[in-house]
Formats: sequence, C-alpha cells, structure tokens
Amino acid sequence: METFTHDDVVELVRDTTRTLFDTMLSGELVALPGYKSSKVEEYEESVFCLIGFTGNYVGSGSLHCSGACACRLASSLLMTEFTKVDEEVLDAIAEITNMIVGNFKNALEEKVGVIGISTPTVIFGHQYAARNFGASEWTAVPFTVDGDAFDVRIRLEKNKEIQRLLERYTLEKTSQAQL
Amino acid sequence: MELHVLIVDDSPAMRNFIRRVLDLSGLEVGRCLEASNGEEALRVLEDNWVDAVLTDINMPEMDGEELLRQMSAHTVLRSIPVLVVSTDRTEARIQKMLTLGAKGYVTKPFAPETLRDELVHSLGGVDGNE
Repeated sequence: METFTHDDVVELVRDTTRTLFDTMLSGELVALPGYKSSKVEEYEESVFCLIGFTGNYVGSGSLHCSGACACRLASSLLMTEFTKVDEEVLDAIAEITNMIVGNFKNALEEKVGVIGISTPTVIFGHQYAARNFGASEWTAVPFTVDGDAFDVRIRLEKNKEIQRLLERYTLEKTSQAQL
Repeated sequence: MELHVLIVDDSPAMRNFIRRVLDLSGLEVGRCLEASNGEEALRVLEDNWVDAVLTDINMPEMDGEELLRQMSAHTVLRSIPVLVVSTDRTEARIQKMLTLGAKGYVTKPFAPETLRDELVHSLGGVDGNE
C-alpha cells in the first residue's frame, strides 16, 4: 500500500475542487498555498460542513466559508440568487462538500485502498470553535472564488483499529478451520 | 413528445440541480418527479409513469443498486431506462450498475451537457424534441 504526503493531499483537493468549478459551479477560482494546522479554529458567522472518513484511514474532510460565500456557492450551484443562509444554502454546501471530499476520497483510494465516507453534517453559527482530538493535524487548502474565501480541510490518520480487527478476524477464522 | 422523469437522490440540492439542468437542456421535459431514496422511488413509480429514472447510488433506506435490481425484476418497470448519477467512479461499481440494467452512468461532478447527452443516449437517442 502506498502512502501520501501533505503535498499529495493539497494537490488532490485542488484537482477535485477545480473539476467541480469547471463543471457545476461558476466564478474565478484561485488556489492559495496549503498549510498544516493543529490549533483550535475559531469561526464567526460561518458555515462548516464535515464528512467523516473510515476504513484504512480515519479522519474527516470539511469545507468552511463565510455565510456570504455559502450564499454565493449555493447561488452558483442552484442557479438561484440566495442572500441569506437558509436550508437550501446548507443543502447546497453539503452537496458541494460531498463532491469535493468524495472525489478526493476516490483519488486517494487508488493509493491507500478502501475508504468510506459518512453523510455530511453542516453547521451554521455566529461564533464557535473546532478542534481535532488526537495528534493529527489538518491539511488546510484555501481558495478564493471571485474574492470570497473558503477552505477545504483534510485530517487523516492510519486506522489502527481496523488492523486490530482484521488480525482478530483472521485468528478466529484460523481457529474455526482447526476445529 | 414530453419527457417525464424521476430524480432519485437523498440530496435536495442535487435533485434541484438536476431539475434545473433538465429545464435548461433544450429537452421538452414534462413532469419532473422526485424521491429521496429507492423505496420512495418505487412508491412514486407505482402511481406514475416516467420515461426515465435518474438515480444516485448511496442513499438511506434503499440505495440505487437495490432500486435498479428491483426495477429490473419487475415486468413493467424494467422497460424504464435508468441513468445512474453518482460520485462513485470505481470501474467495478460502474460495471455492476450497467450489468444490473442501467443504461448510462454519469459521475459527479458533471457538466450539464454531459447529463443531457447521457440522458438522450439512455433514451435511445430520442431527445424529446424529435
């Protein structure tokens, strides 16, 4: 099984995001330099969409943007003007995140094997903080679209639990075969 | 000839997007019905005839694979062309859906013209304006 680097993650996120803008969204997409972060992130008046990874690797993929940027992205996807964050805007952000993170996962699977993803959870709030448990860092990939900023964050670590479960499964199968 | 379609996806945003794409496609779209999973889709199909079903795969309750399996096993519903619209682009999955009877497969994200062309292809080349 191959491994991957922070730069691989940045490149895959950029590719999948660019493909989405080339096909289903509009606006001038600019990719900014990716970086690693482990600090508590504090957000104001923003939308945060989170999707979990499970399988050979565990962690999460997320998209974060201001309420105004969420309205711009939703307007672009649904070809309708949105001026405030409502249910339709949150649905659109969930779908946009699902396509970016889902296609990132598809590309990463070619290197590391099967990974599953959860359904998206979207949060809209005026003031909140987010942090990762454990030692792993986010790889953050910032973008702007016509000047509005959003970022995609990926956190992945090897799933030690699945290896333990596989070993236990193999042992049990071997014991059954010997009986 | 108007095309009546059923869009099956658990994402309201994606159903909305597909509906808009069809509205702007130049195809003469009649009724555009919606369902959020396979089970709901089968209930809609009990009471409504459609010319094509566009379905996602990963959905709660009943996924697109089971929907396709049940449609293929049904004496009447098996004649409705099914176009799969999914984020899953693995070759094994695509082949499985085609083997189960799907007429086409579009991966998300997709350009509007790709969806239109695949839908027309699934319908055997008749685009509703002919």
